Amino acid sequence: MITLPKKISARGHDCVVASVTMVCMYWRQTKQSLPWNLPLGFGHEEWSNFYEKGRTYVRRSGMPFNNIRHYLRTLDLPLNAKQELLEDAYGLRNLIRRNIPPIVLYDRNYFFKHERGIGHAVVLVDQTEEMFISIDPSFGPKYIHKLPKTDFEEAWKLKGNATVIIYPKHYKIKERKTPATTLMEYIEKGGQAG
Amino acid sequence: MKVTLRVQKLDRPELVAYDRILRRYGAGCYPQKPQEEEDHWKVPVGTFLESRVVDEKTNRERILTFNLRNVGEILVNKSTMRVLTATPLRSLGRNILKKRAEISHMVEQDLIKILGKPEMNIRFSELKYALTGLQPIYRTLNRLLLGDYPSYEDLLSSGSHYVEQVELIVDIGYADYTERRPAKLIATNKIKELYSQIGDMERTIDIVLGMILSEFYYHLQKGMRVAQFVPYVRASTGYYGDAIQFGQLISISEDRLCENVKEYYRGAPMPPRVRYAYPTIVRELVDAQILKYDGHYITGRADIFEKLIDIRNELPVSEEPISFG
Repeated sequence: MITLPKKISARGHDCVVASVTMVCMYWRQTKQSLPWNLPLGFGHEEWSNFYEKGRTYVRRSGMPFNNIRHYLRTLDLPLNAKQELLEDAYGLRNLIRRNIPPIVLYDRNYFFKHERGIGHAVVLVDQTEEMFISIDPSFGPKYIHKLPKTDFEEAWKLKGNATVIIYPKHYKIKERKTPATTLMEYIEKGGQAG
Repeated sequence: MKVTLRVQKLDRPELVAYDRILRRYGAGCYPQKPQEEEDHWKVPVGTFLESRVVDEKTNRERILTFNLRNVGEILVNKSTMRVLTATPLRSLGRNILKKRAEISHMVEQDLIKILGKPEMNIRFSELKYALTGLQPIYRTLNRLLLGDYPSYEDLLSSGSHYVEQVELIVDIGYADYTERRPAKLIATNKIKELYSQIGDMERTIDIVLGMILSEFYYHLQKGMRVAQFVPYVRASTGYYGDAIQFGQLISISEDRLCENVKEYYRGAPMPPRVRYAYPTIVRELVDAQILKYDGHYITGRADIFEKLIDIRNELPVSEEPISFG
């Protein structure tokens, strides 16, 4: 299980910034040998400034993922950020196994009520046979939210399986592209993509 | 450490558009159904806009999301499956504001219509600052009810803007000009009957003022540039707009009301010389029986709210699964 050293409570569009901050704190704690310009004490003012600065990148339409990269770059952190539309949950399981906490974007409205709604970002920290364990910034002070895999995957797929990966710069994360529509799906739909 | 991730190939226009949306706009947006054009796909962009409503007295919070469609578009090249052009983030933000303003306008329009109904017993004459801009109507109604009928020249001597406002009374049928020269403005049977029914001059004027405002508010504001009434309407919309979203009357502080008005009318310019202090506005709105005090908080009137609540079904709004309380 990935242990996030500090949890941050946030609502609305701030869930992305809160998740990014929590993951940065995680890397700060686990990769102490990297050239950090932020202190190890997470109660320090610099971390709250870090979060507040992140919030300034949030727009009415949400937090553009390009802004996360820009934000990390301006702070000169030894971390990279990547936004990917993953093929399936295998990628998530793989990341959790390697102790890289993925930030996933899923349709929480659909997850709870089966109605399409706004995307919500959470950090996945563990998995069981049937569940993903997430740290959800909107569920403070409890934070832990267990997501049944099948329901989560449906709600996640509605947001294009969008995942943000924040990782140390020396890690190599490669993408292997697979068609969005598999041959079987293509045939099932009578030869029409999508 | 090396990690290989299997990612989706962007081979569908909605996927290309969604990738662009996440990178440039944020997770609040979504691609709508792509439309096929000659050499490209047009993918309209919709957005979910969050709105929080708090009942400060009970400390309950409801989070609602507005589903605003067509706030931007992304064109995807058919042959390369790359983005040709896309609405810039700044324009998208502006479009979101515009759509939000349309919703506020809907609430405002209905509220004005309701406030103008005689049975609501709104005491418009208590809105002192508003009356400074509506003096021509107020004074003329007074004169008509006292039987002091002014001539057209008399009204015109006060200025053409004066006559323009007075003619609104004629337009709703509560006054008319005589055919005999020199023309005089006289009270019609309608206003006389109303006066005899009510038996109180102040109250009769309030009712006629309400009718004029509900009918001609936008004409007064934009055409005649009479803006003194605007802050009152905005403050009332700021309160009732939130109550409608919440689904019941709520109690909020003066600061919260001020924030609501800012949020509802973000980008809408405030006319000059009408920046009244909120304690004054609220006190006068309470005196006019549009709002009520609930201890230190502000609340609304149940009968106004009941007439407005049907708008909730027309709003493109859904409640978040998690609300707090």
